[in-house]
This record gives sequence, C-alpha cells and structure tokens, in this order.
Amino acid sequence: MSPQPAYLHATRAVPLGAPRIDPPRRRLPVSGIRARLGFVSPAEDFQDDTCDLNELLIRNQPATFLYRAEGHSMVLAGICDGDILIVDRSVTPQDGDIVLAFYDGNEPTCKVLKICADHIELHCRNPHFPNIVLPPETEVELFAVTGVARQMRREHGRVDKRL
Amino acid sequence: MFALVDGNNFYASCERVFQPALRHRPVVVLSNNDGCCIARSNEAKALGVRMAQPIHEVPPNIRKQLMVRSANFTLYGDMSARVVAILRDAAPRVEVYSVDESFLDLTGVRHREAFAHELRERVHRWTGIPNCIGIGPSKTLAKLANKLAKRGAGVLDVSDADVRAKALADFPVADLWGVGPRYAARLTERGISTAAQLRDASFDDILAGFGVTLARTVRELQGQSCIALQEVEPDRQQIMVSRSFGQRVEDHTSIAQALATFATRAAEKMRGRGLVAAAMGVFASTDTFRPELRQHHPHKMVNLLRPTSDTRLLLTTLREVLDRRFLRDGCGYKKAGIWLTDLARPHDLQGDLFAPATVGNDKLMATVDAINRRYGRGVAGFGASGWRKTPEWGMRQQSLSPRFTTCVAELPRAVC
Repeated sequence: MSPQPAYLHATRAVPLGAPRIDPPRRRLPVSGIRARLGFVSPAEDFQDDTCDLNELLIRNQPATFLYRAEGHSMVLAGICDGDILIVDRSVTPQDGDIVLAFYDGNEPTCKVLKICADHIELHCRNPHFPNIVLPPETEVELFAVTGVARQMRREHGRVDKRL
Repeated sequence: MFALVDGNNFYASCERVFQPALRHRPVVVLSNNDGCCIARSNEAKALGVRMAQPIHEVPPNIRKQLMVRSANFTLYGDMSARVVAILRDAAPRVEVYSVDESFLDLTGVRHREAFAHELRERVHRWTGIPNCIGIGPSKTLAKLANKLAKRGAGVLDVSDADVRAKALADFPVADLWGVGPRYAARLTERGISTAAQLRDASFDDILAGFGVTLARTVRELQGQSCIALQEVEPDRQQIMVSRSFGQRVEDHTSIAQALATFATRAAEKMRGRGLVAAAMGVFASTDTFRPELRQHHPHKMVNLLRPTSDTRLLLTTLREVLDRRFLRDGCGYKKAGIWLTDLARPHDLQGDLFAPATVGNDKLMATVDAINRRYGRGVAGFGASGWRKTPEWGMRQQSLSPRFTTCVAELPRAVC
C-alpha cells in the first residue's frame, strides 16, 4: 500500500452496514505495468489494489438478489428493459426509493415508492405508463433496488448473450 | 447455551421466495426423479400429504390442488449458504448441521430471547426464508425447543427450569433428537413415552439397555451439555455419488457414461475436501419395484494401485470393471453409483522405496476444477462421461424451477 495523504488519516470511517462475509471477488486490474527490460516501471510503487464490482454494487451479499428488468415504465429513472436489478433485502425502503414490490401474488414489479397518508402508490418513470395506486390494507412486500447493472450490446453483438 | 435455527419447510420456502404465485398455496417439492414428497408447505401438510410419500400415492383430488416442484438443489444450496452467512455474522460459533438447520453457541449472549427474535426476523427479512429458533442448555434441548417453537411464537427458550419442565412433560419421546422409531418402541415398552420420563429414567438402566448414545440424551435432557458444537466437519470416510435414472436403461454405453459422470463428480468432491481415495466401489441396480422383470444388482469394490484423486485413473479403473462383464444384456438398470472409500489426506500417507504415496496429475486436476469453478460445472470434463445434453439416464425433473440465484440467464423477472 502506498502511504496515504495526511488528510485521509483525518477522515473518520463510517460503517455502511452490518459486518459481513466477503462475496467472491471478480477482480479487474486497473493499473500495473510489467517492465521486462530496462528501467523498473515508475508506476510500480503506486500500484493500487483492484476494482471489485461486487464490492461497489453489493453491500450485503447474503441479502442481495438479482432480478431481470422487463418493460419500459422506468426508463426515465435509468432502468431499461433487460437490465439487471440489484435488490438488497436488508435495506428498508423509504418514500421516493426505487423498490421491488410484491403484492396480490403477482410477479414483482419495479417502481418508485410513494407513501401517502393511508395508502401506498407505485409510480412509473415514463409518462406513457399509469401509476399504480394500491388500495389501503393491500398486503405488499417492498424491497429496495440498490443498483442497476447493464452490459452494452452491439447491434450484431458478439457480447455473451447471457448477460 | 445453544440455539437451533431451522428453516420452516425449507425447500418449499425457497421455491416461494421467487415464485409469488406459490404463496398461500399448497406446495410440494419432490425428490430426484420426481418420486416422493420431500418438502411440504403448511397448506400441503393440512391437505394430508405425508413426508416421503410417493406422489403417485397422493389421492388425485388432492394432487390436483398441489403446486408441485422438482427438487432444485442448486437453489436450495445457495439459499442455505445465505442463511448460514447471516448466522455466522450474528454468532461467533456456528455448526451447520444440515441444509436447513444450524446450531449456534450463545455463550455470553445476555438477552437470549430478544437476540433470537431479532435474528429470526433478520433471516426472514434478508432471505425470505421463514424460520424458528429453539434455545436450550444442550443441543438436544435446543432441538426440542425448536420443535415446540414451530407451533408457537417462533422462538422458545427452555433454559428456565419451569419452562423446561412444562416443555418436556408431554413431548413424545419418539420426536427427540437421537431417538429413532425402534428405540422409541422399546422405550414405550418400558413405560417411557415422554421426554420428561426419559429425563427421569435411571442413567445406568438406559446405559445398559440402550448404550451410550441414549444415555447421553438423558444427560442432555437434564440440562447437561454432552454433545459439543462441531464447527468443522470431520473428514469424510466415504464419498458416494449415485442417482436413480429417469427410466430403465439397457444400453451399456449409456450406463458406462452415467457411471463415468458420477466418478467425475465424486473425484471433484474428494479434491474439494483435499482427500485421496485408495479404493473405489461401483454398483448398478435394476428396478426392484418391478420384480417380474429380470433383476441384476452387480457391485464391485476395487483397490486402487496407489491412493489418488486423479479422475483419469478412476475412469481407467471403472473401464476395467465394466470390461469384466459387470453389466448383463437384457436388464433394464434403474440406478447406478460410485463410491470412493479409504479416504485420507495425502500428507498422512507414506510412500515406499519404489513409489510415492499418491499418484496422479494434481496440477491437471486443479486446472480442470478451476475451469469448472469459473465457467460452470461440466465445462471441462472427460469423454467417458458422454456429452449429451439430455442423456438417456438423465433424471426426471418435470417441474424444475429456474436457478434463480446462481445463473444469470435464469434470474427472476421484475416487471417494469
């Protein structure tokens, strides 16, 4: 590890969630040049750790589940058809959060949560889609959508179809 | 002080997490080849479906109402790992007792009941798996408390003497941990039919009549812990991989491929535990439920020349076994399997003057395992297994749900 600048020592660590077991890592090297001959790479001393997308997107691995988004009602919230939704069941959803809602034995639906005085509404982020108003007393389970993952696809893609 | 955390109707609950349509409906999960009911939701239990009941014996009018699923062990294994991860976060010492049960050491936890209620809620909220927690001064009592918690508030602590006395008073001895149906029958003959009666039985009589295991249960019921928490699974003595086929198979090549697949899987398991085998067993079996058909139940045990974990050496040995007329023509085989025994850790073995202690190409095997870990099971393998997507000997899994949590192509849908 390279020595940290002084101002970093002064910052306080704020725990983001319950301590947990690390998820399996997918490591992507971000830097690092190997010099075969001549000078030793001047970058070597500054070699950092690797970026881990799991670490970035998944805060609580045992409580995190992935869902495949289908439909266009959330495009203005940045959720497209075919995206992977990252749902963290340990996060309590609040008013205005993007949530996954289970009600009436339907397939789960991804919407923006609107908590009103006596009922709950599920709002779309696309003017062509109507909002859903759940009558009071509806049994509904809500989970926070904490991230979205998307792989860019070429028109005649060579990208793995699975993702 | 111990706690036992147990997922309610675990397999059925796993199916429900991702299939909202199954909620509040009678759900039944079937064993491999869709044979027997191995998990039932409360609604299915209420309809009278029994544990291990063959599905074809369930009356048709009831079967019509059931939501049936084939066993999806990939899904259940992942959900189980999630539950265990949460438990390990909460308690310093955890013993994973089975896919849906874990013992926790609660030594030092002050407000046990509040802790248990909070943990129970957390496991449910985080994974979607409903569960119950039993607490007691011994594992046997924690297990008993768990059973009672299922009928009550979901958490029961029997560490208090009065609560314990009440719990044991009418708890049937047959339902106790460590008491099988045969012991239960013999105990009843002696006038011991409740847990309380077994607790008060003479220790020496039980020791003399039933042996040390049941004597230990007596002590455990008295609140004295005799069975310690086992955090690390002891090394296996034997690894077995066997399957019933979806249909009767006569073709020897197909059976050979099935056996090669099982041998490959067994070797993988063995390497995962860092072990080598000195002997391998092979067996096959025709349909015992159809006695009018030709029956043949061959089995053969072979000592390997040197202990190994190399799949290729196991496959060569298997080939030799099969070449010696292991299977008969005209028999429809329904089941086959491989077992590896005489297992040891390589560094516990000693070589001799002429040969090393173990043989095989460890590097090659490690590479194959690494490829399969990274790209999915069965990506790299051996020709002997055959490479058909749906082999003749394949399992019958007519109502298999997707691998919701372990396969990107099979993620659950969210409507947007």
